[in-house]
Amino acid sequence: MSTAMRRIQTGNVLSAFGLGFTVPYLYVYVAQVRDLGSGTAGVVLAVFATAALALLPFTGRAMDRRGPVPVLIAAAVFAAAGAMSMGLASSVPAALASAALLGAATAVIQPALSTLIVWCSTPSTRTRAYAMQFFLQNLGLGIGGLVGGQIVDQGSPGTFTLLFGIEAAMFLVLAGIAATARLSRPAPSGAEPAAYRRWWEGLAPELRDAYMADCPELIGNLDGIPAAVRDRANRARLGDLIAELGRRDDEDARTRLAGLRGIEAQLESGGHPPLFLLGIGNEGNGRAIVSFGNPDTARNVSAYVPGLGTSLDEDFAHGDLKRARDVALGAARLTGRPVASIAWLGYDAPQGVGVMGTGAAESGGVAYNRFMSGLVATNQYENPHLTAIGHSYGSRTVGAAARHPGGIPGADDIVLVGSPGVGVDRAEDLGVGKGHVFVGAAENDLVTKLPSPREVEAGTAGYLIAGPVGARAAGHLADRDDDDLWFGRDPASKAFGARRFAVPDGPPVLSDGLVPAHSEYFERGNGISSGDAVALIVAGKSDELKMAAPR
Amino acid sequence: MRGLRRFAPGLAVIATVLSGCGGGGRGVPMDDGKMNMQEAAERADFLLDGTLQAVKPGVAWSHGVTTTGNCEVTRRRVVMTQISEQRRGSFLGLVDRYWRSTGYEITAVNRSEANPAIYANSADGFELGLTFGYKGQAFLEAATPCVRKSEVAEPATPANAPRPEWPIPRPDTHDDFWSSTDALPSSSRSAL
Repeated sequence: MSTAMRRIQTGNVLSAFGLGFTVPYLYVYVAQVRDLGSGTAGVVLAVFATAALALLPFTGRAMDRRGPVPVLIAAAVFAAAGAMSMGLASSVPAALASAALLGAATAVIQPALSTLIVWCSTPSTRTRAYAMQFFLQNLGLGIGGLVGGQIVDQGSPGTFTLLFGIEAAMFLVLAGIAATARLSRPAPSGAEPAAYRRWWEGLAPELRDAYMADCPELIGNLDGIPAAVRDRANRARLGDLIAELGRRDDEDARTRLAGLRGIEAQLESGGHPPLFLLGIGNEGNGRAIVSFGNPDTARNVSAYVPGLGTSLDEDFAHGDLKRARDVALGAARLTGRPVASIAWLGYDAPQGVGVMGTGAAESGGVAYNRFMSGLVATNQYENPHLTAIGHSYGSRTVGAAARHPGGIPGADDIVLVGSPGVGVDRAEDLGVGKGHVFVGAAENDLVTKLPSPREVEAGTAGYLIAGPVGARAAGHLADRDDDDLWFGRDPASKAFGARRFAVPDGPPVLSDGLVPAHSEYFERGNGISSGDAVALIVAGKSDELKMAAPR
Repeated sequence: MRGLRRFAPGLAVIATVLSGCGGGGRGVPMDDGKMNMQEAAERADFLLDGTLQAVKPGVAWSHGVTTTGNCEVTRRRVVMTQISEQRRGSFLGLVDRYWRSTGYEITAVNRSEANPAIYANSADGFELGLTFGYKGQAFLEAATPCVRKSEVAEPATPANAPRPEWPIPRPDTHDDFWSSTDALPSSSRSAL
């Protein structure tokens, strides 16, 4: 839990405790102890609630303008005043006025605390933070009620005054804690990355430091924040994530831990090009966005989406990172301008062929577009050369991203390797022009030869009816041109219209592990030549890409 | 494609098999674990040494960045001798002939004038590449097959023109033959 979050949750406990302390006894206090009668007591409770209702609609607007912290401080101070005056109230008007003040103020405290939770959390940590808030509220209420019950004595108004006095003190402590939280400039919520970049630039240095210290998980993963800042925030957070996982003792935690340690080792050993950690997280199958080279100062940037079976584990930390580093080195040889090559694990890739649907690609595509939009916003050049690379299922994700209106933000070239189809039937539907879509496929790569679902159904039906002949006939009817794959037309087919770069055949299937050719694009066999083909594209030298079999 | 359709009903079997297929460097080590990454890197260094020794007149070179994955290593060499456009073809031809004579199989070429390249495989699964990059600089690369995981040390062979590995050092050494812009007699031809 970050410092800010600890403060927020402490605030929760205090305000809940204060309420639990007094609200159960409000009726008895007004009706009997102050002798104002049950009618008045009823009205007091009604006023308590109605004042809250009246003020709440304005809370949101106030927080949008001033941020939750000033609102929280003001509310806490007013709540203290309301509590104290209630403790001293001995007439009907005084009781009603105090109820109004106390009710309105305590009601405003809630959304202010919740807004702070939203600010200093990411989708993965938010649920837990809200759950903790709810738990602490009820705990506070309960304990407050129990303790309050020990103190009060119906015969002695003085004990009730003490109760309200303690409640007022709790609210003042809450105001004090809130005042030490320095997050007083609101981050635009749900805005575009460019807006976050402007917001960050507009923050005073002390506020930036405050955000870095208090909400590293937010700053480190926010598209639109400069790369060097994200890197600092994520490096700081990596240690916490590792410690968190170390406390667990299950298979998933161990796998994740190995992945994070692998990344940590590379961060520590330095290496070239320099590593920028643009994202790290534990949600889903893990999140890691690693750049070799600074994407903000580079003229040529590539972002590669890994595919089937990828998760934040040791294989990712060494295998996928090597790929990204190799592309960076390959591209750096080709141009005098700085390059950056990113491995983007910002989504949950399907872990097996059997579970390969389009949902992951669609949500991955949205996240990828947001990331690319962030790159465009923070890159120092007006028009950097951006290449989107999709490997295996990652190519389906890139395809999903490219289908959004406007295409992938900033992307000039798209590279697809080992693709089982990308969800569109023509290269020109990917938003960069068909001359800028490049496809590599090896003959021995089975994944690029998965028949389309229609073919499978037709083939199966045909087989059941008429054996192998029937299967063949039915499958053929379903795909007359023989260029449909699992997710639509084979991007390496002529009909798709992309620029194909030939890679030598990978080793035959099952000769060396399971489908080795599929992951061989950047490894042995076709490793160097296809890696160099990608490097030419990334460096903006696709015109020089003329790979062919030797004479 | 047609062959696969014949087995469409057996796709369930294939799917089960493929579900073990991973995305990143998940090859199964070959060699029954006889070789580890350090030994493979040393062999890659040996292949690169041989290639550079075959270049005559000799060129100045420095070590490039080594990258390591889960089971494979890529070694790099950077040529520091300025190779003119007119000599590019000779360089390619020389390396091509050496690789063939050693028994490597040339697997691909990049038929570009500005950025030509040749790639070869050795019988024991190592891949070699010669590329011409920015301003005609020559680069050599050797990639190992997937072997047993181990730490990998820096290459043992000292470079004859050592430079910092990053940023990539640009060619700074003149050679009477390799840097000459005089046209060669027509009997010298490039490999492409």
